[in-house]
Amino acid sequence: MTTLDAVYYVRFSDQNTTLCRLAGPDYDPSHPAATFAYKPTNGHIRTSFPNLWEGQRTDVLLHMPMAAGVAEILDPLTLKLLWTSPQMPTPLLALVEPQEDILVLSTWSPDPPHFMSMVGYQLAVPPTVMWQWNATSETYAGFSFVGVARSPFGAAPLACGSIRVWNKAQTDSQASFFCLDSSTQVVSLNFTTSPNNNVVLASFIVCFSLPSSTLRPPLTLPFRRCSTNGHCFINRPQAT
Amino acid sequence: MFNQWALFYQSATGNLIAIDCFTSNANPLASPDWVLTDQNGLVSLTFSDDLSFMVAYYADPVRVIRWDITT
Repeated sequence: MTTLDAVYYVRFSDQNTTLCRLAGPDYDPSHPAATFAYKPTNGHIRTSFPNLWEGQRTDVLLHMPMAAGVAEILDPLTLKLLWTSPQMPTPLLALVEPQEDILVLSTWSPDPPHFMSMVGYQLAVPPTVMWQWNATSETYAGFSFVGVARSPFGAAPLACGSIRVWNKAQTDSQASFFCLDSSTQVVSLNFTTSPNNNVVLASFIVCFSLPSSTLRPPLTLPFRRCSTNGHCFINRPQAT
Repeated sequence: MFNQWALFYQSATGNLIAIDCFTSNANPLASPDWVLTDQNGLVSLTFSDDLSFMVAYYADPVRVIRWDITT
């Protein structure tokens, strides 16, 4: 991972793993400007992917050691540990919105009791919990946090996720997409996406900047398809 | 102003459909906000940081297409 003035990399040894920051002008790996040592997760495959996210506006470095079940906030220059999230039972997903003000940690348990959880934090040092959602399932269930949708009309943000619940024999499953009001935890949107596994969540768009005139329904976005030879042509999505 | 969508790929039809996250529609898959057709084999989408374009990855045949998003 590189920024304008730093390069972060991970160095492995038998006892621990060290996150290093190299500084210019020479960026010498033998003389890192700052280091942060942490214990590697047992059985974790070594990877050069540092799993970092740098908030340049919030001036924090978010570190998620692979498969460790925690998220950490580090000082981006000194790599001093500023905050560690509560331990999660399974590898977690962390996300910071482009506005760099919301951090979401989510987890789910593959072992009984099957529970799902996501926690929204106001990103600061230390972060403060804004909202929390927990659910349980009597049968095997998988959960993934998808994203935070912000209202263009001042309503509370929606926390959206995807759930797949299996039957008792684990021979069939049903996936649903849902959003809940982050201020009340009331589900505002919930629909089945794959009764026959023919609809899958492709992506979640955080936001599009659009002229207000284009927000009138039905909303139609022009897409321009561009080939590798530089030629582009318009392919207008079908309005419904 | 901005709008927010969840995008779903419908393999049976090859459609990429967009759902407004703030919709009150009980069955939004039946009436999506917009549909991008002919997306057969779509594997994944990656958006640029400024959301000005997305890169779509397709299988069989493997290909990568950049879709510019214009207003």
